Amino acid sequence: MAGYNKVNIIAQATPLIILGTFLIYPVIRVTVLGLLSETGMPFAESIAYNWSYIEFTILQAVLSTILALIIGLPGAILLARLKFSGKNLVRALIIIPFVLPPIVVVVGFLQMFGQYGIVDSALMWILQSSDSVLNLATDIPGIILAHTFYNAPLVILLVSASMERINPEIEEAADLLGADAKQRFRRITLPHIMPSLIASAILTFLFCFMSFPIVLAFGHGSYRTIEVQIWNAFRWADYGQASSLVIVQILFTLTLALTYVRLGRNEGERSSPTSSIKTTTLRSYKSSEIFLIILYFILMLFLVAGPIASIIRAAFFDPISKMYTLDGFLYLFNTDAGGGFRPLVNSLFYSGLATLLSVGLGIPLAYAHRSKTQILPSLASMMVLLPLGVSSITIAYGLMTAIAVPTGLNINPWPIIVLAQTIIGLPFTTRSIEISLRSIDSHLIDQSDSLGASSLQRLFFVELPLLAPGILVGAVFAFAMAIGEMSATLFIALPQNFTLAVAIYDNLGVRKFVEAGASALILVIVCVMAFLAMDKVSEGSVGGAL
Amino acid sequence: MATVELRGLVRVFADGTRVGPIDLRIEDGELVTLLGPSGSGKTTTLRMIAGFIEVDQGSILFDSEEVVRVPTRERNIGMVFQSVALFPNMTVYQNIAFGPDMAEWTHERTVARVEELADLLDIRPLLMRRINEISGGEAQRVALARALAKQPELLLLDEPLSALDPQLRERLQTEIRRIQKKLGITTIYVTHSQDEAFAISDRVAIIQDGRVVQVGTPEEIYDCPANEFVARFLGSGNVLEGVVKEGQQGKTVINISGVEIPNRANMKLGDRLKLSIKPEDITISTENTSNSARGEVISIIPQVGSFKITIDFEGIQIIALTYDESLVTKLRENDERAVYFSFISDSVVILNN
Repeated sequence: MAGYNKVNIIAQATPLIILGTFLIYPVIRVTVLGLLSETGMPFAESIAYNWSYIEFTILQAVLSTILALIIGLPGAILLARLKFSGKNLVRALIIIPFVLPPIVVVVGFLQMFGQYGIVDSALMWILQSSDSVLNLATDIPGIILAHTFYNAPLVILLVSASMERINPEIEEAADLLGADAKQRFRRITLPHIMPSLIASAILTFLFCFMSFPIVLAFGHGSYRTIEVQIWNAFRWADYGQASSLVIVQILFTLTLALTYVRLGRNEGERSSPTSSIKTTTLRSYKSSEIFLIILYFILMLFLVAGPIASIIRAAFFDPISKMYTLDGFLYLFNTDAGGGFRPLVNSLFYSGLATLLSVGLGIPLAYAHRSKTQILPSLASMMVLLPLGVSSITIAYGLMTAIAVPTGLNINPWPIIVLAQTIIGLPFTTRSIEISLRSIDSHLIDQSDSLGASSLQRLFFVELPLLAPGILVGAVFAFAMAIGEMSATLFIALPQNFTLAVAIYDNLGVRKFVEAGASALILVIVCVMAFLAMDKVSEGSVGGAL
Repeated sequence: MATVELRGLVRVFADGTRVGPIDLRIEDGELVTLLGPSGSGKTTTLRMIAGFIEVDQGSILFDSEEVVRVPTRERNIGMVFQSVALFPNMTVYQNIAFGPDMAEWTHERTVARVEELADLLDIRPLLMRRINEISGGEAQRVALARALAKQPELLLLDEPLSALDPQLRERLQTEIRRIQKKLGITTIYVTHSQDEAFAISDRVAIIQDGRVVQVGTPEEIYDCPANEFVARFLGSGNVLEGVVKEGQQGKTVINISGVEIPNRANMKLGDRLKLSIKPEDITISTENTSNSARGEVISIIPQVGSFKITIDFEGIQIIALTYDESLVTKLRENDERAVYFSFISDSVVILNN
């Protein structure tokens, strides 16, 4: 094909070279550092010293995954089976937790489930107690609940999508052959949704395994994951220990990420009929079942909608003085050293740049995926998937030691922050561009070819306009990811580089709750707006980008 | 085995579409096909019999017993679905054994039954394969075996062959018919293909707009379509319009395009009516005879053993079949393309409106 000439290959290889320099090289360097470095603990000693943290990392991830599956599965079944108006709205709203930055969720959880939070206050009033009764937003319950908040919706989306692809005639066949509802679920439905259950379990485990802001905020230093320990070791300048932990973490995450990808490939190969699953209205259920469904709905309201809504209260209500105040918003316009204006500007500036970079890299990467050359597609998908299996802290650590220190950028590391945010958001940006690229009718392209368009004309007048919605969705994703990113940014940033997300963590640490609340509210608004734009552009198919 | 009787069966959908009332009786061991265009309600009728769709009015009787309130899994029905709907997570053996397993047959009995059916359907080498490892035609046989495994009293087939290529379809038609006859199982077959219906059925029920418009053997329906819809749907006849006119000796005649036949239907003078004439009953000639009409040849297409001649008569297309090669040669040589056609009155079917 004429389009795949040298220029094309160079254009598609450029992002690979950039990622090679800023992702692969740094990560390899820090892992090698772990085995060979003279500074700090050697590998074996590091593992022994951190054994309890490694155990805790696995334990909390397993518990969070189990809870997310237990809470998500009924929701998935209901979303697939129950016929109700507003189903598409519910499906769209369920995506919101994904776009909320973890540190914002921490603020919401503190307000909803924390000491003197909404639940606690209600219990205090009921029990007529003047002391705090229940604080769920701390330690292990806080960590696991917050992880569930994120991942139960993920389970619901992935599993219900798989369930909706069941050919209804298969269930009818089982019915005719004498299987009752329980037997049908166990022998037909469950095997059908098993790949999606495993996929969502792996994703959940990965997320919790690499979770940083939530563990940092609720663990109070006494509960630490590998991710938190890498950060600590780096701050103590113990590079041997930090790198050893990176190796352990990467072994886990890359294995799981590869399993997930392989699973996804098998899932994709299975052809599914166009018919859609049988749905029933609430009325056709027994009253005991209706009771359980309503109970489940209330639970989800508490767990998922509660923390999000509480962020609004957190922006105005100071739990220390027990008063409503606008101080949080005044803080955002405070241009002094400790004020919120600088982080706000930083956030917008860094995220804006990261968005431009993501799109600039994402378009050629998406094209490289379907390149006819031998090596480009697999290299491209590897580069895109790598950030999913390499934690934010590892990326930040790699960038700092391999790029920032040798170049002297560690004095004012803002370009490193932009790079980190770009790399972390890139899989999502590329994916959404790739999806819309795949949906372009190849006949249209052929048509322009037969009409005599050059490959550049074809790119600018035919393909890019067709791709525009996908690029826009990708850009919005990149922006939302970048502005909410806290882990890598906190790792890299000096105080003058703080973003809003980092400032929230900073403020929570010094118990400036309304300042954190107001900043969180701003991030929520930005993310929800981004999400709405995304939903509008992609007409409700945002879930595909996951 | 069982007789099946549908009495005034009605289903009204949320969008106002109405199927029924349907009345139909299927005798023990008989294969009846529900034939009609898509959307006519044939699949809905089948799904009501299976219990997948609620019945709004009327009753379904298996051996004179009402089953409308009996849950699907207790109706003892076997069914082959349009999408085949084999369980993808199981082997061929597990698929066929699913029914017996649910009915808690002993292992020995299940194995014996599966092997018996596998031999009957010639799928024995496939038993241990997974569903994604068998071809479309094989999948249909497996689906049929699965439907028959529990020895159901009634077999339902919902366009089971529509996804297959024509050759395979024809082979499986014969096979289904052979097995159905051998087992003597009462069967309801749904299709929109006339060829399939006529090839396989004892009797055919033509469904139009949610109602049975004609029931009969393939021959009866082909020879005497009940109305214009059936005639046109089967494509078996030319549908022409006739007018009742004054004839000789004070008798009235039906004038069809200039050809006159006796007024068998006792219609009044000036009445208009529709008639159906099969292509093989139309006589064509290059000479003008007394009781014939003049048309123009549009096309002559050779077919197996005959020629299909399309004639334009005052804007209406008439199809005639002829076996006469010399006539065809003459028609081809005739530049004016003029042709005269006639038919005997016995071959004309008067259609009810």
